[in-house]
Amino acid sequence: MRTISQINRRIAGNQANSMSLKPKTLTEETMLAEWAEVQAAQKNPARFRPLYERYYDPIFRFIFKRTGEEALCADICSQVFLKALQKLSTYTYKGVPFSAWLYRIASNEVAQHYRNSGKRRVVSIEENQLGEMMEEVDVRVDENQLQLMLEVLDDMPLESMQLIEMRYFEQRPFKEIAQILNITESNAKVKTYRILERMKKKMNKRKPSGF
Amino acid sequence: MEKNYNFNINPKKPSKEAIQKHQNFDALLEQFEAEKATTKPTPVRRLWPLLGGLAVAAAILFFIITNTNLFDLNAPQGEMQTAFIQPPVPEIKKQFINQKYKSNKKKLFQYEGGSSVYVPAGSFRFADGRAVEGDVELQFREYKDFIDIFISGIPMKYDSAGVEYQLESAGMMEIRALKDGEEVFLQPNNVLTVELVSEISVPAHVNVPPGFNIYHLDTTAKNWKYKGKDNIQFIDKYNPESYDKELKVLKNNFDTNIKNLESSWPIPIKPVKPQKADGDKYAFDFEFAEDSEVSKLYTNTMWQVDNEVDFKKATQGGNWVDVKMEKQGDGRFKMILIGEKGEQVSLFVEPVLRGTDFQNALINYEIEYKKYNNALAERTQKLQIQKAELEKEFNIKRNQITIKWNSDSNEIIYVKRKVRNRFTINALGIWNCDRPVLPGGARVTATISTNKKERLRKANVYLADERSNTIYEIKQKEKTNIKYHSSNKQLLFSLTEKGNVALLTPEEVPVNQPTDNIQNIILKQLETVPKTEEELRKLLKFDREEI
Repeated sequence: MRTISQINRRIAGNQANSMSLKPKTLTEETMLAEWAEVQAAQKNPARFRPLYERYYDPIFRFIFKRTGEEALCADICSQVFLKALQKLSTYTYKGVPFSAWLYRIASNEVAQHYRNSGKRRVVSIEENQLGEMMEEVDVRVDENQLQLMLEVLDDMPLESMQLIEMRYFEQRPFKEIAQILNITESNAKVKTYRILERMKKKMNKRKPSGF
Repeated sequence: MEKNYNFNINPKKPSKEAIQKHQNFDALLEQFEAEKATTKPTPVRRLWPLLGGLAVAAAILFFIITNTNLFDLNAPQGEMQTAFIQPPVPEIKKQFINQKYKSNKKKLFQYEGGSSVYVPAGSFRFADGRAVEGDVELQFREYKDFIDIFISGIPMKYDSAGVEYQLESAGMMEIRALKDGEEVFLQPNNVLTVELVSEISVPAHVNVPPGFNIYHLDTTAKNWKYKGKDNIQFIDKYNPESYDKELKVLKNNFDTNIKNLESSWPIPIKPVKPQKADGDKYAFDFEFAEDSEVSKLYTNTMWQVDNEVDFKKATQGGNWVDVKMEKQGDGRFKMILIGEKGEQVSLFVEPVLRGTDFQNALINYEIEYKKYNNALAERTQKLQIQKAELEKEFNIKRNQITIKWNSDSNEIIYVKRKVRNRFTINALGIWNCDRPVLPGGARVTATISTNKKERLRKANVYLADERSNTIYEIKQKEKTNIKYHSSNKQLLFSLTEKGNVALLTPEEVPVNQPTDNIQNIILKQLETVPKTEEELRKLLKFDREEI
């Protein structure tokens, strides 16, 4: 496991910035305009282009965080949009952004890749995000505790990791997480906080390895 | 040791360009179509009702096509000032460039700015289908920026599958042909090859222009028709090394500043350690002028010769009338003895002292050496501090330049780039190189007026953005999308019934999207009534100091 150094200073410096990175939620009107685009694409696949161009970049980055390799990411990304085109006729507007449906497909394709390859799932983390999470579990932010936190994360089942990943490492609002995972917003919140509680208990029980 | 996950701490993120490399919608569509073609066909018996319906529709369509000129792109469309195209300032028009030529020959028409139209021989026909012979007058005009588009009155809205888009142009043109004043048309299956040169605003780091399409304005259907992809290329020699150039200039300035700093504080002169005379060697004893460098050395200095042969050469050579001393790098001097007749003898000597002179000089040297060391240390320390400040300033500026040119940066720098659009046309009229964008912003109803309560000519307000060649039209009391930009310069403007320009400058245009259903827009009326395109351009500028 990689060692982490100089956490405190970086966390103090980045916390103010992290708030501004939270993605904006779409208005009802924008979602309706997008639904019109989807309907046009359902009649004529060539009309899928504006949706493809709008979401290619964010979907690519979503997959890249979970794979860490550009070429592999590009392959999976193509698969995602091909699947989206193939299943587009089944999509109906339910008051959630179209992107949530794409992220769900992307999440499934990534999971499928790891099932097929048998490799360990990549989880991309910025150091300051770990610090934020540690403050949420009320744990002192220092190098020892961060090392321990990674050990605890390593024990986590995939479903829990996905929630933590989207909430703390991608800073998505609960509403968006719920849309992607197809659960309610309150369910997403409850699950996340339960995960954090379990993490806190584990961290209090265990000593960090190597110390 | 990681067991379930592979944690990637602070991973390097892919750049926008790296991601764009993999983006290919055409390939995706091809793959989708290919995979669809291998799926099982629907049983025929289920298709009978559908086939029957299709046959009826086809018959109706056939009747329509053969009995109207609805789909004939070359059908007379008359003067382009139909109810569909309404120039807001009829007195100000983009002039056609008219050129006559022999229609039985091919011709390449070239226009100022680099645009061109290639017309094959025998391209034209009359409305009744007869081929045109003899002289034909080709009329051509371009619309390159928002002012051209505004003057033309050509709408930039595009309806596709029930969704209304705004067209952002990379170049628009209008082309007509006349034979003795009568409008003529392209022969069927004839195409003209067009190259339109224009300018678009793109992020500085972009090496390939964004995708644009070709559209033809169908004034009968009152809509743009998609005709294919635009073959668009950058044609200016945009220096991709601008980032390196800026850095180089910054580095050169930094190096110059360091040099100037060092020279502003000269290095202290190291004192020369006195040497004791060697009793076994010969030495000269001179009296030099008081203002000479050598006299500034220790008093009673003698000049010791290393080599006995050189000393004998010097002393036995003749009558020396002058001597020159040239300091060498190793503390010695080259002594040049000059005779009456100009003959010279040179030998190497070193300054030495004897007895108490040497003792006193040594004591003095130690004192001077300490002073020298202190002065040197002080200089080094002070220079270090000042150099560190210069370096800090250099690093800040270098980061600013890097952020400016870095494609991952939140702040994207836009530049104007020249492009050439290449496409073919199978009909005359208005052709546009565009990309459709969703207007975005907030959908509101606007009430529009001027600060002098004058009536507006078309009761509309036009919104122009420095980064796109288009005009957004905000209609009085009709729900319209209004998108204000916090970072782009925008102009809101209109014309009063008397022809005065009324506007809000980029500093006055709101930056936040409207949050209410009603948006009150009060334009500031200017005194000038523009009579020409040039006068209009002087008023409609994004840079306020030029208004």
